[in-house]
Amino acid sequence: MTRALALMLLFMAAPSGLAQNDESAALWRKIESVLTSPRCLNCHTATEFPRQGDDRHRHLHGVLRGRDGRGVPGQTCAACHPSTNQSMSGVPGGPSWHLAPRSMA
Amino acid sequence: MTLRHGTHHRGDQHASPEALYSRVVSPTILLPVFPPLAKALEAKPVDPSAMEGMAEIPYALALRKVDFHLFRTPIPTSVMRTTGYGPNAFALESFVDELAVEARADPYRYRRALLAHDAAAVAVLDRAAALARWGSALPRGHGRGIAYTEAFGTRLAQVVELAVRDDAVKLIRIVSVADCGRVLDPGIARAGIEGGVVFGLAYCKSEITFRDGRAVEDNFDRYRLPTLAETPVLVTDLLPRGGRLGGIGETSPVTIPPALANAIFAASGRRLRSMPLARHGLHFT
Amino acid sequence: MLQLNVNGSAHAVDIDADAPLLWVIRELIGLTGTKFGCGVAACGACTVHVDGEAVRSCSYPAGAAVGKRVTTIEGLARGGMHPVQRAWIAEQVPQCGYCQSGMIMSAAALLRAVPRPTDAQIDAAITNLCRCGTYHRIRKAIHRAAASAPAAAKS
Repeated sequence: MTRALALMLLFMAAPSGLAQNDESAALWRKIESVLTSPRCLNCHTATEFPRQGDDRHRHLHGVLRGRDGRGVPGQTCAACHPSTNQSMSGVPGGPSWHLAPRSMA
Repeated sequence: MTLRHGTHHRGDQHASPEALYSRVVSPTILLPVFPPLAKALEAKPVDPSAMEGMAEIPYALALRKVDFHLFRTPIPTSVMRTTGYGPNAFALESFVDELAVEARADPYRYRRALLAHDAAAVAVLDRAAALARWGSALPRGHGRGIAYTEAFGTRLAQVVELAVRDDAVKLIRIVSVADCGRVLDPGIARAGIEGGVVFGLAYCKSEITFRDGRAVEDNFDRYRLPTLAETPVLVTDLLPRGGRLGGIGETSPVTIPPALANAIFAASGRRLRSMPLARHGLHFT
Repeated sequence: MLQLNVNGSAHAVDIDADAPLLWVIRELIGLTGTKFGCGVAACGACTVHVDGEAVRSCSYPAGAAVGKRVTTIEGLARGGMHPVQRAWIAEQVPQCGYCQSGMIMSAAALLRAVPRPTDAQIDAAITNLCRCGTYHRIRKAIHRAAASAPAAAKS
């Protein structure tokens, strides 16, 4: 999905002169940095598991997608990720923490 | 906390080694728990605990020389489970395996010959090989590694069976056989050995590194311990022959790193001369 | 003041909503069966149930437990023994015991959702750490508990 959107934007920004080329390239870079941010890609993934951190390493503890993207029975995403960021442990949280479906990778 | 310590071996004669030279480099293990040692170390800088498992070895070798260099470091070092036996056994048991390979001999039988003077040692080694079905056919990419030690008064042999695929090491089965003289509670003895196997695997999985004067791995998210998913089938047997009680808890982790390294060699042809696995781009799966 | 339900009893606790549930359980309510192992949700020693689901209480804000049922190891079996606890004794699982409260809570949550788990399901669900290395006995005990409790395990 990311690739389709990127191609569409690139097409829309198609240059008709040198000045427009530079400008659209700059715009594209801005868009790209957002679309490829680890914060998004870590959970918008086609893999069977989430990733973690800016270096996008595989999520610790063998955490898996599970059938519905919410982890496996006994170790759901919610087992460790609460509904709000937890300052004491540093574990991030949000309402209904889970993986995006593969169609949104 | 332990630092890696290196040993250097030279064996003459391929068929059966006649002479063995070892060089042990280690920071002190004993000093913080036994301060009176300080005076002795000044006179002669040899840490007795760091020499365990190298000053005395179970194999019949007529000529041996062991050098020791006390590594001085500002990092406080002390005892860690297995004390000196663990690192020394890793060097010795890996090296004996390399000697066996050089002699085109089976690593189990090569050791058996070197232990022929000790019936109890042979009994432990034989039992471990039998339980591990040593010598039976394995699929491609699979391997078995064996290691033997006499530590804390106990004779112990372990066989690790695993598969290596690219950079992933999948443990399949770990056999441990111990003769600790007398067993007071078989359940506790077994649990102690099997727990020690997992502890030994931790030595192969993670290490403490330092940056800017402090340890980088400060919690379980960075110092990764073995998990239930990584723990294979464990087969354990006790062969108490009577007599003095030997140790269990600190003995069991001793032979895991070399048995693992020997198994990885058997499975993949890669010889690991240090741990943990990450140093070699490998990981447990 | 937060109104919490722990092991079936109501508790009014005076603490920040953001405080870890683990602190409330141990320090304010005085139930010390649940342990602190790492504080960063990496070890599972702090595992409790919130509405029957396993949760690592060291990173679960107390405020999020309001209106829900919290179960700790002390409240797992009402007056008797949970099949998991019985299996733990039969297989002589624990050594030092520190991780076992969390292990048992995780195992009970797994069995509630999957009454007859395979080894692979156990591997995926039980990521609690045990430094004493009791994992293979834990696996056996979970299979034993699954076999002994034909109905879905209570929680």
